Amino acid sequence: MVKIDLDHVYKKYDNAKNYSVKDFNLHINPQEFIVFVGPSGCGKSTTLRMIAGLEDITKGTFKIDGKVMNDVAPKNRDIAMVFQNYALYPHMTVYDNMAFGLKLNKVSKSEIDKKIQKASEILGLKEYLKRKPAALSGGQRQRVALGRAIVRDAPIFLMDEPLSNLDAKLRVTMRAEIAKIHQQLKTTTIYVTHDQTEAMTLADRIVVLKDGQIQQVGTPMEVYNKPANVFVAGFIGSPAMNFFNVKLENGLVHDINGDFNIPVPEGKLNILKDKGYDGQELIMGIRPEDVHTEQVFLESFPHNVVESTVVVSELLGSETQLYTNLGGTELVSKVDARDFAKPGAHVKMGFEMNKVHFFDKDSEETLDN
Amino acid sequence: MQTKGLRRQVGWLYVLPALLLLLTFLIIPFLMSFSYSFTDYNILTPNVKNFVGLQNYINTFKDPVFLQSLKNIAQFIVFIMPIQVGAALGLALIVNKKRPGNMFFKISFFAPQVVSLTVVSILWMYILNPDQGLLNGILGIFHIKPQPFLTSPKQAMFAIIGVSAWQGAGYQMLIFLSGLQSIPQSLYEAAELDGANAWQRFIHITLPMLKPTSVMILTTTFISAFNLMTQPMIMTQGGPQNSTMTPIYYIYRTGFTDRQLGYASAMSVIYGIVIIIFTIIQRKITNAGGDENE
Repeated sequence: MVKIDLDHVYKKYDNAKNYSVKDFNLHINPQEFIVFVGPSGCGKSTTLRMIAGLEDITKGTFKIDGKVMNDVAPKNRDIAMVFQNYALYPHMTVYDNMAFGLKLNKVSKSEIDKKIQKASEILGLKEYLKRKPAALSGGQRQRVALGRAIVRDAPIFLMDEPLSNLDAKLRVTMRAEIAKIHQQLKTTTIYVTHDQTEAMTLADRIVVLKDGQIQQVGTPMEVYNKPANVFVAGFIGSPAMNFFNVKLENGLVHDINGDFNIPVPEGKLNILKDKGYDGQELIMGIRPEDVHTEQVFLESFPHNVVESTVVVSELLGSETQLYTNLGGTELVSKVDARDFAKPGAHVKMGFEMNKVHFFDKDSEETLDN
Repeated sequence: MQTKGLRRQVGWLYVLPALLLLLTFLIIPFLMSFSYSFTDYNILTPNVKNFVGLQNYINTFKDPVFLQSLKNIAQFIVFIMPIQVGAALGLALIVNKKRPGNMFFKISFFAPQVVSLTVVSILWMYILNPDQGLLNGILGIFHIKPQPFLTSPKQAMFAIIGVSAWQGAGYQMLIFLSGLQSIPQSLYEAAELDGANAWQRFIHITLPMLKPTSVMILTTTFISAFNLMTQPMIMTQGGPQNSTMTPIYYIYRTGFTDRQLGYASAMSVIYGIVIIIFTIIQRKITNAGGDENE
């Protein structure tokens, strides 16, 4: 179990104008499960590949257990990796796929056999050991790719969007499987995904990336409850957070068109006033689950109520997602399944103001703390 | 039922052009030469064709030149296969790496393919000329005695093997190159992380992944090697001492220079059977272990 340090790491591809990864700083503790999340092109895979040694590090240092590894060949880094397309050797059986790395490292035959039997038991691959990858389903191939990483007993696992080629149902199953494997093996893991649900469910700590730069590092709860900026707030959580351009005046926030006028709770108001935002424009964010339609809420907080027009209403069984229009801005809310409404209907909604987030209008940084 | 019959007729219509060509240039000539092989047909006296039974076939096995030519072609095949295919793979590996001037090398390696075999043969006759040739000139720099090449019974066939490989490797390089480029990069990356060095990656990834391409190239090389004729015809006329005489060339000479078309036909039939037998064996070998689903 090792720790990994990335200090001021930069990456620029040969023919590129800009840096793909900029000033990346991260310290990963032993046994930690780290998830890099961000939209495509944000540099998450590039960073992972730099750690694997498949890409050169342009600037900065990368250390494993305190040793600088920048120029160490991939085969000497003792890292196991699961690729997005699995990268199984098509001419080898499942058994040989898993045995390949061990054979190259001169592990004895009986030892190899023991490891593969154990890994295939964990992954439910016992009956498929003699098959070739072409004769396996997507989920089974994914398991083989995991197995190939597990048998190596490497102190670091890297996973590059390992579930993106699976269908939705299988993705959920395999996600749980990966979590289980990590609990058993406790290998330091770096996992790359663009799916915020995977990030939330798997990670000890999430690293949110955009345009090659770290936006926020924190536990799933931290990035969810205390997003550092508008990007993180919008990226983590599904459906995404709603944002309004508002102005703070006399303890009230009102949007530019005057469609709502809502008092800000005292604690938040003081913070904003202290920072000099009284009378200023700012960005207010509210999560869909913090928008309420229950009668009790509307009656208890009559000043927090807005009226918006339903555009689309999606009944998901346990809940309804209302896509409404509030003064030209889309407002998505997660409400009770009974509050299903027809398009065009006017619906009263209450904002739970204790849970809203405020951001600076220009820097888009959080103003909550 | 009627429409079914009609559809079948339309189907025949589609294959008719190809069928006509096959009939005219392949099937009819084959049947004709098969029938000639039992006669003493001489092109000078096309109207006199006496049935001689199996005499032509019996003569074939007593003909030292024909037997020699079979030995020669066997030697040619044994050497051309590894040399030409190996060279093609080597060249493909060289140009597969991204480096400046790559296009120049690709074109250079492929260029001999564009030149006709006749021109290639004449060109190499100059290069291999014992007295003024380029190759002996180069050897001279390294203080190696001038070699006879095409005029030595021991060296002539090897000279022809070299020329043939030089001419044929470029095309196969292109096929290998497309095979190499279809190997996913991630396999190499996975192998690298598994601890494989460059040589191990070549042995465990490149070679097995190239197997379908290699089988195709080996098969086409093997079949076309049986047809060797232009190079010895132009460079050595089958000599010295029939050391570069090949079956096809000998059949051609017997039929059209010596005008014994009956006898030449008998040799073609026998050589045809030989090729069929070896092709079957070769397919058995290359297919062994290759029948599992990829």
